[in-house]
Amino acid sequence: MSVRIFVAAAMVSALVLGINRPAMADAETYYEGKTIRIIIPFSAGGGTDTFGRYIAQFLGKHVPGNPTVVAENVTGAGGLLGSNEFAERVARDGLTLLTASGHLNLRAFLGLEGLRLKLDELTPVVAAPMGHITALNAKATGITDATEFLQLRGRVTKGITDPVGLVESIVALEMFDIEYRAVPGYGGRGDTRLAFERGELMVNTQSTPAYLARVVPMVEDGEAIPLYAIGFIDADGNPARDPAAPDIITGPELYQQIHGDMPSGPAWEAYKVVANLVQNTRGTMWVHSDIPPEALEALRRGVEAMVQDPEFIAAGEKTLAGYTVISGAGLDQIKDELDAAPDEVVTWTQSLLTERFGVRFEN
Amino acid sequence: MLEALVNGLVILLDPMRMVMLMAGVVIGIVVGILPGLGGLMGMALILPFLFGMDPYGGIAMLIGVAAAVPSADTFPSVLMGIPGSSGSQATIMDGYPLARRGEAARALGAAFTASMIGGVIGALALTALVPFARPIVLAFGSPELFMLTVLGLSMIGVLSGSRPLRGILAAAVGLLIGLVGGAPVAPEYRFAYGELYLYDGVPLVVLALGLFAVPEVVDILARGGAIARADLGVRGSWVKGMREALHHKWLVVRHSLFGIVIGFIPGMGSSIIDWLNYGWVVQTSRDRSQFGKGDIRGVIAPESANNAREGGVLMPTLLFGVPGSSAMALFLGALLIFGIQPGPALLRDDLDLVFVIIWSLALANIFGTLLCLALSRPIARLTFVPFYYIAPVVMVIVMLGAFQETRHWGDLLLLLVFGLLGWCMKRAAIPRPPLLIGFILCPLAERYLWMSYNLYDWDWLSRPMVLAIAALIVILMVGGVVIKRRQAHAVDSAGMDGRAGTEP
Repeated sequence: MSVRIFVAAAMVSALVLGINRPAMADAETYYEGKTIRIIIPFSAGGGTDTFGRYIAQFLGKHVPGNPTVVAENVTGAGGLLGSNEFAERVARDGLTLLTASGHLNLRAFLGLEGLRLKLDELTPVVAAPMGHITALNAKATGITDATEFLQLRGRVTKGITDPVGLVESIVALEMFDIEYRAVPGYGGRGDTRLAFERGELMVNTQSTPAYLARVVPMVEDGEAIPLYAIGFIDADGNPARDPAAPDIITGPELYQQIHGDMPSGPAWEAYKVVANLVQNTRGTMWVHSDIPPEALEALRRGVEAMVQDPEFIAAGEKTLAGYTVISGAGLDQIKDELDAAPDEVVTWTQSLLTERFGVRFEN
Repeated sequence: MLEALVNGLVILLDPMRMVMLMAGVVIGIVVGILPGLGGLMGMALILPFLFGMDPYGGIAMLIGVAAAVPSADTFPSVLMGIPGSSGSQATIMDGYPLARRGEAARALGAAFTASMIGGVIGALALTALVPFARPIVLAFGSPELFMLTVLGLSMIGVLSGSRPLRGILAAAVGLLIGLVGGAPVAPEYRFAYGELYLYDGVPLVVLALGLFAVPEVVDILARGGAIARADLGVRGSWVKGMREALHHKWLVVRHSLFGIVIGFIPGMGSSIIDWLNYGWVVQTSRDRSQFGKGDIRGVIAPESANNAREGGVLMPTLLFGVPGSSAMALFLGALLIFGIQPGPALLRDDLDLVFVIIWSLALANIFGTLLCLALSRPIARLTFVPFYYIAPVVMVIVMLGAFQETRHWGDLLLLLVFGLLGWCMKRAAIPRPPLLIGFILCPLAERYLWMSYNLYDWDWLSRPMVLAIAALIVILMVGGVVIKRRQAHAVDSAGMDGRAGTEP
């Protein structure tokens, strides 16, 4: 009984507080009768699309004013068409959101040619993480212990799809200073995994859910071994295990096991930035920072309510593959890390991608 | 496995799930009939509704779409010479001439019968091949895939009819158009001129509709009258077509199996399958004189293959999580929505689900083709309606089909450009299929050649499968020439009374 009274009191006071503050009050009504359009710059059925539609399904129910939420795939040019439409051609009224992938964010971060998205002008509304795990073909290389990984000799092949889309795995190999032969032309990570299974490729990085479903059977048969998880970087700059695969050590931990010291130098600095940027924002809903403050407030409140919704949590178990949605303070951390990323990391990563793979950047 | 086979059927026979399956079939038939719209579009339509749905029901619905499209897209291909979707292009070669002779019902009857048998064989083969799928898929590395693209290119001669040189010219133009857009093995955009629309290259659907639909509409309008030439009257019924398909039963079986195998191999894409089958049936037939003029075998072969293919492309999707076609990429996304991670573990842990998929495929093929057969008589009458009544609707649908590809105005501009090119080629008697084949195979050939070299230097040339496919190419090409010579000789000695040239 007392609990119910407390809740009622809290609700009344929240309501009173809300009415007393004009921006707050506007937040209650801003989205009334309106339609929020979510641009998904990738084709239907992919990871980013699945995340975007998952959020779209629940967001309208929780944002004050219950707007209609419509998700729309605006595809083309590897996400450029949809992103550029969002960056340049939508009104700053909070009625259009963009669902980006971690690698799209990275492209914007590095300033890829043709992409007009500027992350420092955007605010994340909600995000979801996803890790990556690198495996080694034990059958083709003869190596069965991850710590012997640096003794790799001969033709160490790594399949390349789009180099920017694989950046966390490339930076990790740079950190270990491994000589490898890049084989471009694969259509996607699925194709590289197939080639890895065939013995065409020696090292292969997959998203953690894909690793668990499709590489683990190979590990069980003794055909492959897990090398390292890319892992996450905590607020103090230390490696943290991948929550979906806590038993697999992270790249820097493996480095420490082999060399005795933690990694250092530009590759490690880039690793720290790239690991979080790509993996914490594998699905990110962006909105322009200069939309009306009451719209921003309404979206923030909507997301806070949405993440508490048991139905949302239940539906997310599958879509999020063992990770939890990032909201509130976690989003501020993403924004802070982006702002704090040193320029040297940007230039170092750019020149790695340009010299090795011929990727061109805007500046 | 037997238990899972029965379980799968029991799960699927739930009335709600059967309704979902049927709904999928109906959606598939509608998008199949509309030119340019294919399984990808049909699946994209229902994807948003899958969240929170019963997984088995949702999957049955998606499979219903995937299975019904290759049956229904035969309608525009046969009746108007317009590719119904990117997987049904080769059917126009002989199906459309049959329709113009007033034998649309016969062509449709044969096509649907072949589709049904092909689809069921596809489902059966999927069941039989479950244990062997892994080694088969893994046997095809980049060098083997490159040789398959060469096999495809080697069929250009056959598809050029009596003008091989012009065919090669058209194929070269196709290869050139295929170069536009992002390069497959370098972060480089070719002939895009900074235009974002061109970064993804020319959309296949727009090219196919431009080349085949626009010239046909223009020419029939210019000629006046209906699609079927009135002086020939109504000939042949769908029962006759059905009987012919059954008569050529080995052809149906052979091309169904070929369709499955090519579908099986991830990395080839599904748009080339019907052309490979068409090329093969022409190459291995003794009497080739009627191909391109309305030979029923030219309808039966690709139609058997394109339904069976759906069984094939499911394999890499389920087993490796690598989509065998663009529609399957969507299917993969749907599986992820239901929290199903495709992969070898699926066969071990969730065999029931695999059999739900296989049963859905078999049942959807049967329902879909029966429905199409029922529709074929009324729809075939369209070929006798004066075309100026139909043309505006057809043009609107064609433009819509092209425009939904990227929803960018560039689609419409390109449709116009390729429509003009197609019309000129038609007038100049330059065969158009080689252009399409060159276009489809261009990125694949480039990609797999570079990858083979990158992975193995030139050692890949001595891999056993590479040599085997090379031998097959030589046999098919030399064999084709020998058969043709022998046939020409036979016709000569018989005093020119062969069937060739007797078309009224």
